[in-house]
Amino acid sequence: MLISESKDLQKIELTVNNQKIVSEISTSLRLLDFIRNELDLTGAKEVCAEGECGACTVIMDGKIVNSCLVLAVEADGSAIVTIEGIGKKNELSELQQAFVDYHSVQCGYCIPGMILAGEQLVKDNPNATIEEIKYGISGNICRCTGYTKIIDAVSSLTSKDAKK
Amino acid sequence: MKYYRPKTFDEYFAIGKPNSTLLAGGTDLIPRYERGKELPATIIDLKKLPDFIGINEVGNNLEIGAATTIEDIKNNDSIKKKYTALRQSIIDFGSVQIRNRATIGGNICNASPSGDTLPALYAYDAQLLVHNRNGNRVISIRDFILNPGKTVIKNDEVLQTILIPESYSKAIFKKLGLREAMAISVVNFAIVCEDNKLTIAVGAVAPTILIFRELEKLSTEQILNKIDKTISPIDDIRATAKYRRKVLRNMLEFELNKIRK
Repeated sequence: MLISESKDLQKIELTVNNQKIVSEISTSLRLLDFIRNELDLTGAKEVCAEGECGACTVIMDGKIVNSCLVLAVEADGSAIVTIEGIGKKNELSELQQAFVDYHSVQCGYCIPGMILAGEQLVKDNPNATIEEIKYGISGNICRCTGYTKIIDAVSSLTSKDAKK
Repeated sequence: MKYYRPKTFDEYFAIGKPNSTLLAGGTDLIPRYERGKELPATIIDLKKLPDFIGINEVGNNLEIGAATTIEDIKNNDSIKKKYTALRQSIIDFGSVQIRNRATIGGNICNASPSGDTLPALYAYDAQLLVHNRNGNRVISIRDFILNPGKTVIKNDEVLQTILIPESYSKAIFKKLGLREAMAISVVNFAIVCEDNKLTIAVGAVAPTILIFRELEKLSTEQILNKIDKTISPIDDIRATAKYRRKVLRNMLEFELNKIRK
């Protein structure tokens, strides 16, 4: 949470997981607090609150960002995807299924951010090498240190030739 | 806190609040408020100003808009081909999430002693185009940064464009951090080199980046001694001053031997 909450309000319009949202919010509200507290989408987590850990990752206009470093007013006019927008109820995305198959999840706290970073990485670079996957998820910290299984899951979706 | 996001230069100046805080990527600014810094009365977001975004080759100059994200610079073809020191500093910068938001103008105006794009920009002698309501001026980055967090920019001014006047056939950037991603540099440096020109810029070993020019006639040993005499590293949570001195010397020697072959 920002220490002091601004009394100035501003109207924002954006889409979150393809749903149009119009809301009047404090100008000092972070995007993370907006999606967790106003929209009740609690998949994005707050851990370090300074952009180091990636647990609050969301996709903003096709790019992964730390939602703790973005003011909600800055997201006016943008398209946001949170972990709740990946897969469907009772139907996991390919990457989510890979995380299950490769036993990539331990405590689970980093996983929403890891999945979003992985989804965008595979979309942007379907032939990503192991090194490119490591570089691509380096903004997401897993304190259970289960990186190997996470990398296995992401690389199971990228081109087999690229891995050599 | 009033929030403005102007879409044109005219709109920007029409806001008319010279003491407002300028917001670019926010990756350094927002955490400061989270740590208790008082919110400003006005924030002006520069990210939707087209004149502040993009990368263009104009003659021999490369022009980079101050609000261009680090990730967009990383993916630019001119920078990949010709500005290898800047490109390497950007590959080593933060994480995907940070590069997607952070801007080159923010990294400059933040004026951190360890700012990762700074040694390369000092080595290339980047020229900074700064505006106010009445006109503009161009300042070398070497004169722009005064101290940690302090630049010559005035309250009514805004950094619009970074101009890089020339490229070099040999240009490298090296950084030592405690891990590869998301690391604040223990030491960092850039070396640019042509047949008759050798320039080195070193970071994280003094209050600002230090620039060493006209080194081409000196031996590697003389260069290393000259740099060692000038730097003033400190002890902090990342490394001791002694370690910084030693590791900078070793890394510079290794790279100079490679580049001067």
